[in-house]
Amino acid sequence: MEQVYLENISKSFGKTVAVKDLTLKVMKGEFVAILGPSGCGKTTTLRIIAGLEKPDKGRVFIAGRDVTNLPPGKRRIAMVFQFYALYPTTVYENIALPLKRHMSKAEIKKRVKEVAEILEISHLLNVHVNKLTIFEKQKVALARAIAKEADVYLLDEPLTLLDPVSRIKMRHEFKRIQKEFTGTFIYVTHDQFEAMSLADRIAIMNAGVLQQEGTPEEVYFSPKNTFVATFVGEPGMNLVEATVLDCNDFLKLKLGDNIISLPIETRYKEYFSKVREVLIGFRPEHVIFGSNTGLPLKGRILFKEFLGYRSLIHIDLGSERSIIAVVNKLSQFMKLNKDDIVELSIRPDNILLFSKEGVRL
Amino acid sequence: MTTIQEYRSESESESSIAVELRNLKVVLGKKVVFEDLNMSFERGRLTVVLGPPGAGKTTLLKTIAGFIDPVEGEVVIEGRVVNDVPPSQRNVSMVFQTLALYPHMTVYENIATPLSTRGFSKEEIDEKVQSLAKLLKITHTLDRKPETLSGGEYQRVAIAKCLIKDAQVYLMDEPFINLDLKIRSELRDEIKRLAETLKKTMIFATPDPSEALALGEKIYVFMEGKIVQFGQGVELYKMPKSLEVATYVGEGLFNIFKGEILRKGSNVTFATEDFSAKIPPDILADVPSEGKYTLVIRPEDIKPRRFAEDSYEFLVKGKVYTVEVLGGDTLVYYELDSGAIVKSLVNTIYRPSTGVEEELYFDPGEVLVFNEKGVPVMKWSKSI
Amino acid sequence: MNVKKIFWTIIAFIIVGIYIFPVYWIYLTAFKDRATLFELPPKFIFTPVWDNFDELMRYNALQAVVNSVIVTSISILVSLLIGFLAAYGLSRYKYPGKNLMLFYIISTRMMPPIVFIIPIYMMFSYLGMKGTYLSMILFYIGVTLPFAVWMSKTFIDEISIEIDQAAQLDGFTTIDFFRKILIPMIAPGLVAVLVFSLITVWNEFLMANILSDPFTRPASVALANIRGERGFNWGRVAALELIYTIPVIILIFLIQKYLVRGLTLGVVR
Repeated sequence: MEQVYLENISKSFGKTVAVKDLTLKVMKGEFVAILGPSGCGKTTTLRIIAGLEKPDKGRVFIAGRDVTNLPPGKRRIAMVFQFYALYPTTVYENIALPLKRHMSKAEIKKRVKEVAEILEISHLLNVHVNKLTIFEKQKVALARAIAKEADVYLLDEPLTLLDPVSRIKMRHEFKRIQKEFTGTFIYVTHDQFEAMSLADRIAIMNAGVLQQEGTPEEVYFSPKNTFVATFVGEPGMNLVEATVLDCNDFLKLKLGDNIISLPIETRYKEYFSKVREVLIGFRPEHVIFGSNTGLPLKGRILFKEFLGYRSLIHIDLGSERSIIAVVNKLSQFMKLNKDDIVELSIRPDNILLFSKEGVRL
Repeated sequence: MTTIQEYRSESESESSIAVELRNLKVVLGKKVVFEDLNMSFERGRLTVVLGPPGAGKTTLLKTIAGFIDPVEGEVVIEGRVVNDVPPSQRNVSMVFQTLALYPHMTVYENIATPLSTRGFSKEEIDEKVQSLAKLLKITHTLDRKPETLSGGEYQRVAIAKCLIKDAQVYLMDEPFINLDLKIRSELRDEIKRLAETLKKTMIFATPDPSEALALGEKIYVFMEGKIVQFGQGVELYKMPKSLEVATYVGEGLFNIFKGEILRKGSNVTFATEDFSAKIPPDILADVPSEGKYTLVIRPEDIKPRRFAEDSYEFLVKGKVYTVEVLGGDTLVYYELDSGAIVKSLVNTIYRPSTGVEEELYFDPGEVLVFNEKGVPVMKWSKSI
Repeated sequence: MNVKKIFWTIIAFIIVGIYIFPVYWIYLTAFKDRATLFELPPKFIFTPVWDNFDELMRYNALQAVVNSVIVTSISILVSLLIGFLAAYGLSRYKYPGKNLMLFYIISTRMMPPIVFIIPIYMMFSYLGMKGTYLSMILFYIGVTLPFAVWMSKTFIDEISIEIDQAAQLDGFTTIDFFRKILIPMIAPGLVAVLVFSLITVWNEFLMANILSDPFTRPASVALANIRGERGFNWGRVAALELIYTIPVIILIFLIQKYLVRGLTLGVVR
């Protein structure tokens, strides 16, 4: 049963299109991250789900109800903001306030205690929020949201203001909450690592358009277009322009100064006979040094970067095409030198093909 | 196959010094920022000055530029003692931390100022501005005002402005703070490429160890006004000379365990309240006396059982605390009984649920051991 | 939504109207002849005449406005120039006694000018400078300078010193730096200082009255002295006032772009 369903949502602010024809489903109990660079429309989408913005077109359904025309107060949602938005009173009051409308005093007390325990802030219940650290404040904001028993919990980049240590602790909290307490979460962030770490599924947006949605593994290893391929991962996927030489049983391509043959499915043969150029994609860590386990490539090392637990090798494939490879072992890193000619190989199933316009084939 | 020592001396032999600091002492207000400081910077190379905020990096760069006068010592640029030479005549170019672009001028005018104030002809200026703009991919911004630029574009313009004039030293003071990861690595690559092609002497200050590692061949680790280590990124990372350097370069990712060394015959064990690990004696310089020591293990040298290699030894059992997916690798945090956190780097996307218990193994050949004073007791002659 | 807009526009008009009305009335009065002036109920529609202006010309009353322009412009420009330079020194350099100096400068403004009347009069009298432009100018510079220094310093403080350093490295001489970099960057602020100084000096009456003579008196004083045979000649007063407002209107019109920026600069942070 889908807990949240966005149907063809579109929203513009004046001339700027913030969200374009977005359709998204979130199942009950799922933790979905909406990821994208700043300005991609993710915060607007969240606000539309919350009811803080009205879509120009399309409908919003929460737990089966059409809430498009309902104000936020009636949607049974809870939201956690970047700026924790706490009321200037005690922790207890903050958590309790939203509950006062439909719960008795005794019920409220019980609920607040429960939630405070989950988030380990029971010892802070009578403390005024001014006296809390940012980490504690964010926990209170989270507690307040969870206490409400909403149909969906919306989080808008809640970790951005935390220092790195608190961020790790908070992630731990999220993971724990997910386990102990089944709620549906929609989490907006521009930090792909955060999304990949926390979410069951990720919806990637760019310029208002949904690019892909899937599990972290799916978006990482199987991007649907070049935006996702380069956005996800640091560095992003290698995308190299290749010229189609011919296409019979195998697709013969010219990559820089290399020629490779890829096995392809029959149904694509016609497409390739008509097309001259194509983009080849593969992740930097899939480049193997030494030519025995896959399609062979030859290149010259441009330079290498030591980053600690891994190193990046920039390699020139000829004709102005270059790629990045990842090396994990120091011994290997030391063996490679600038201007060396190296032999590389990539396993065919790690190679993805994209059309020149950026769509995955 | 070269050892790190060989790698280093090869590059040193052909170069000479562009900037030298001799016995330098600088005082700001009542505070001695550094004293008796000796540093040298190779001509035509990019040297990094790495240090935490407050270490004195900005003061160092500004002293070289001439905005701060040393109390003692000499600043020597290309053989000339410049202590009494004002900044405008030192033949130095700088990108400031706050990136000082003139807001009321266009990008073109900004980049051109170092030349337009010195009487270069219009054609010359145009040629230089256009070629730099092309190199830094900002040609499309030339007619715009700085406030309309994105973070990355603004930085590129600042860099272009710095590089346009022919100077003997180019100083860059933390120019990439506050930028997105992707833009940072792009700009980093750009600077490296520029350093290579233009062969200019550059000094780059940063508080970020991974940035320093990625940029520099030569890195000065600068803490509290003192140089604590000088070398390549690989050296700092694999062979830190003190616990301080190890902790700093490790950026909170290195696993640091405080414990004791115990000996039973020829066996050396390191013990903490959570575990007891066998250290192969051949990695230690001398057989250490028993006592308090600190053990440092890098996250990529600890792996859960299924990812561990045969040579790895068992360390401890831990419960998954949280995971941090870093693209194609995952940093998994484990919690031990005492509440200590162990970080393990796995080379794939790995997301076990919180609370799952796993056995952790470590690479005994890669551990670092420091005594109570933070001095390493390792044998560094290990060639890699 | 539109109802809201209309409502607030009406309110805005009303408020502006309340402020503008007296000025409008004076402008009307300037063109009324003796008879129409005193009519009750007051007339808004009538045949305008130039009588009042003719009379002003006969008495050479316009000289007063010229005096105002001379005295005001010189004082505020000198004040701004010195103020800017002093502010730069106070903002950028460290030296012993700086804070004391700052306090001293601001404290001079804490006393109401009326305290100074007698000493200043005696001083200029002794120097034989009664009735000169210079005496008024010097006084006005004294009055506006602290404010100019203080406000300019605030604006200069906002500019990070690294801009100065970058300019040094770029090869700018100090004067060029001021002209091409610093002043353009704080232009709205300086205009704000200019306007506040202008308001102080243009309308000043007390000291001007004491320090000027019939040839050098500015319009503020001249207005007080317009007497007809039978009490105040309101028509002439209004006419003079109309002319008196013209230089200011022209100036404001020229610098309006900077005004809004300068006045709200501190607020919208």
